[in-house]
Amino acid sequence: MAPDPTNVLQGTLDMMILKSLAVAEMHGLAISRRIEQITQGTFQVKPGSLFPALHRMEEEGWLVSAWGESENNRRAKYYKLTAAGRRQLESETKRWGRISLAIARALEAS
Amino acid sequence: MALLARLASLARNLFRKQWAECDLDEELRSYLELLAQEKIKTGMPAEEARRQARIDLGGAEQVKERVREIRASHLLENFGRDLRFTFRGLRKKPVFTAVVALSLALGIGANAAIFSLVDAIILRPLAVPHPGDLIVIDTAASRLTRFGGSSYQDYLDFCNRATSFQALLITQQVSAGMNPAGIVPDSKPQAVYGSLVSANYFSALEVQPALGREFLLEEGQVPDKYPVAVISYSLWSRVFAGEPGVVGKNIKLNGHTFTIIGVAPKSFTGTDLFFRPDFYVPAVMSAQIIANGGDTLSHRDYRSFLIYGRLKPGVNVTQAQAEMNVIMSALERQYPESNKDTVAIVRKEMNRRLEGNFVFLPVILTALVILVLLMACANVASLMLARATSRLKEISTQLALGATRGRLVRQFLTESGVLALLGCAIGILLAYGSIRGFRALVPYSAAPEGPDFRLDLRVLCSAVIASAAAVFLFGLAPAFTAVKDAWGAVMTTRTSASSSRSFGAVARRVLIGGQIALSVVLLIVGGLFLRAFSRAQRVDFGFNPNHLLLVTIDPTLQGYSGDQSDRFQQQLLQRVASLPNVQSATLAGGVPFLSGSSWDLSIDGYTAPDGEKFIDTQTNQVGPQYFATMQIPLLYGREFTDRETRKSPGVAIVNEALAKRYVTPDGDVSKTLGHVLRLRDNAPLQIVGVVKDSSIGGPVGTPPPPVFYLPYFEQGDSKATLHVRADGDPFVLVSQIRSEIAALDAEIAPTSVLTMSSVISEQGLFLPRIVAILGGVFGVVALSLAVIGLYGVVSFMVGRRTQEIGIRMTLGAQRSAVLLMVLANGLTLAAVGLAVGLTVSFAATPLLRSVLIGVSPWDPTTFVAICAALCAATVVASWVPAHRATRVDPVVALRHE
Repeated sequence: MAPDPTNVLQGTLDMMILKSLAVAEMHGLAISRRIEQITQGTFQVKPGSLFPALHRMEEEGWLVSAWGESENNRRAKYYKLTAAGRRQLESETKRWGRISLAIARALEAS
Repeated sequence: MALLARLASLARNLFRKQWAECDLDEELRSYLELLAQEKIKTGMPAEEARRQARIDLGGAEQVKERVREIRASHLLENFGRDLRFTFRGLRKKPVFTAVVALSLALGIGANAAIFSLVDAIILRPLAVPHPGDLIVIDTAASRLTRFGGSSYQDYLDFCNRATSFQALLITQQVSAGMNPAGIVPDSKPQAVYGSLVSANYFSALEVQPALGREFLLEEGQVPDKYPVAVISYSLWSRVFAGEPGVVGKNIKLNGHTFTIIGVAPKSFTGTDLFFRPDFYVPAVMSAQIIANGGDTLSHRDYRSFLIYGRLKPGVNVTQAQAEMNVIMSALERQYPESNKDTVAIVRKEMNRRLEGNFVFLPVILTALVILVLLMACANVASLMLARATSRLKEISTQLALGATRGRLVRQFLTESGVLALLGCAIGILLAYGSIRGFRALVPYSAAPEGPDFRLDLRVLCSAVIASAAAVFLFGLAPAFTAVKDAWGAVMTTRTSASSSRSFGAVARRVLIGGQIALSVVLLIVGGLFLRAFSRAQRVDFGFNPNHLLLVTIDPTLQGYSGDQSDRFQQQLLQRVASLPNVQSATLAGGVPFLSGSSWDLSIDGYTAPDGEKFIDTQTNQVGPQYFATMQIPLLYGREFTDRETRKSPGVAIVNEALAKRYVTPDGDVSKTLGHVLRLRDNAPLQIVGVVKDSSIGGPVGTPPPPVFYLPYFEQGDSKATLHVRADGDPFVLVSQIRSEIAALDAEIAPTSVLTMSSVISEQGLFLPRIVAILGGVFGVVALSLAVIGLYGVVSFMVGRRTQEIGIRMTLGAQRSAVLLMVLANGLTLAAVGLAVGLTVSFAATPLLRSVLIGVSPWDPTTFVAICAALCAATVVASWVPAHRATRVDPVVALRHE
């Protein structure tokens, strides 16, 4: 069953972004590349969903942004996790763990 | 951190929209650039890489639009959604909404009303700059009291000798007949109330006249030379229609011409919370305003002025007191006959108030207010808890769908805010209504006196803050708990959480049980207060206060001699007595509860066990028909007659208490007649009558002291109060009596017009009345809150157990069994609450003994009645939802989950 790579569940996207940023602060493109990388290409994040998500999460207070220099000396906007964001990631992870476990069990049970 | 980020974003969005827009532009441009770079690295030509990047971006405008939407809508839309959601939710749960809003409204309303009451009675600062700096000096002639006026002579010495004070000023309440005809043509003389003050009165209080000027220093120095007056703003607008031209014009006060030099500012109503003077006149003009006014200024033992002042910077009350002690000792050595054993007491003005009669009031009230607020909060908390618990499933669903915790809390906040606003609005209306009620309870008085109730800004603010705090503290805590619980409940099936052992359920039961206990205590206290008041109202004063008009006139203020004054009073009395609707009329020097004098008296043949000849008695000078008019029964002998004039031999009438105690200890009061009393100056007075005891003043319910009466026209000073017993409403007689006075002398105006019942209400019943109002208000509020709370909890319980009830009924449970089950649930709570409340009441009510005159703190009637009322109320509060439970349709109930 091939997942539609463009159609990422919203809750999942948030979690992915948070997860990517947990390692280091990144700019938008780096975030989408990171997500592609960690999901081995299962999820491809398009700018049309990435930027609204980033801004929404900034509004929620999970991220903060600042302008900085990219690796090849280009100006880029970097996003960083806040304490609230870290908490959010933690709870999303737990929640997701439970959900996937439950679903896996449900499917196994037949 | 998160908060800061959010605030920064808010600022960006709201105030720097342009900037945010540029920022977004730049971000997308940089993204494109980075994407293109990436592609170039893989070997794509630069031009092609840029094109591909733009294609990947998929339309910069669409992206921007979506980001913009998210930003802009975030706050407003969420808020709007929360609001809509709240309203929908509240409409769907009208009982919950009504109960929370009503609980809050009652709590806030009661608090605002009580704060206004306490404010009007005791706490409102005087309307002068720095009211907290004002001090008052009392002169007390014995160690028994810490209150008392000072004499003008002592005041002058204080001013000359004391160095602790920036300024000292004096005031004395007076009444006068005012004739404003010089300014307002065709106007009639009328009684006005004012203050005799020192010339520095306004400057020392730092009050600027609204119009004209204040007194000059020399106007307060030379007696009888400067007839000037400052009038109150109220008098200015009432009588002179706010005409600025009054300054410099003349009015007549007691027939003497005074020039109005200024109008006091609107906010300033004198230095006494209960007395709002209409005019201020220099104390050195006393002779024009009060009888024996000259003596007031010259006699060191005429202590009729109250001294206010301000301390010098750096001087405290203790230092000022020490200095006053030295000055008083010096004055005592210098003037032993007038100043023996007198002490001066320096106090902050507010502390002096708190030391007065009402000292217990703020304490009791604060306690009651806190209790009521606690009850309201308990209601809100238990209901919010109940609601949060019942919404666990809904919250879990929201969380599962990706709602954040902050988002949910915001939603709760919106709901709490709407409820708080609703409760606050109703509460303020309630408070406004009760204040109108308080005003109506203050009996009519011709004088500008009595408490001035108003709902001011401070009261409103405290109400709003109290309500906000109540809702947010007691509403949000459960909300947070619920959100936290919901996290745990997301993936489990424990969404109904109907277990009665859950924390929420236990907390709710404790809250409601405690609330019922509290309401029992409040109701019992309130009931006891009401009993005390009704007891006080039914006190037999020994005279009949109804339909009795009191008109005070002093012709000597018009320059009449003593004989002329007597003749005037006698003529007036005859005219008034023959008016229609007048049953009888008399006059007297003193009025019970209002004025009176005490006298040292000796009785021939009586010596006290300690060898003292003189006894301390109260006295009054009364005209013919006094006892008939007052309806005080005459036991033996006769009343005074017209023939008892200044020249006739002395006669006296005594009351039963005096006769029994001092004249006929053997108990045969009839033998009192013929005995001889002697005043201090040894003038013999033959007892010609004995009357039944009647109240002359003091706290209602205290036994009357020994009293002797002298004939008015034999001993009277010139100021007399006409006592007129009317057939009906005594006020209808006022204009007729005024015209009778005018027919004799157009210049004379009564200095006061009152009714005996208003005097008693104000002087005698004031305290029991206020206490009873409070008790009533608190009792009703407490009962309402408890009933609302119980109703809410039982309703909630029924709602939670709908399914269970449905199953029971499907399995054949009788309606009555279901009814009983639900009823039992509510009534068990009520019974526990009642038991706790009764125990606390038994322990606590004896503390109120000093307020409960004539009522036992364990008054069985009150206790039984309150228990009955509470039982009835709880049965109703539980029965209504219980009855609803029996109407449950099993099919619907089973589908409930």
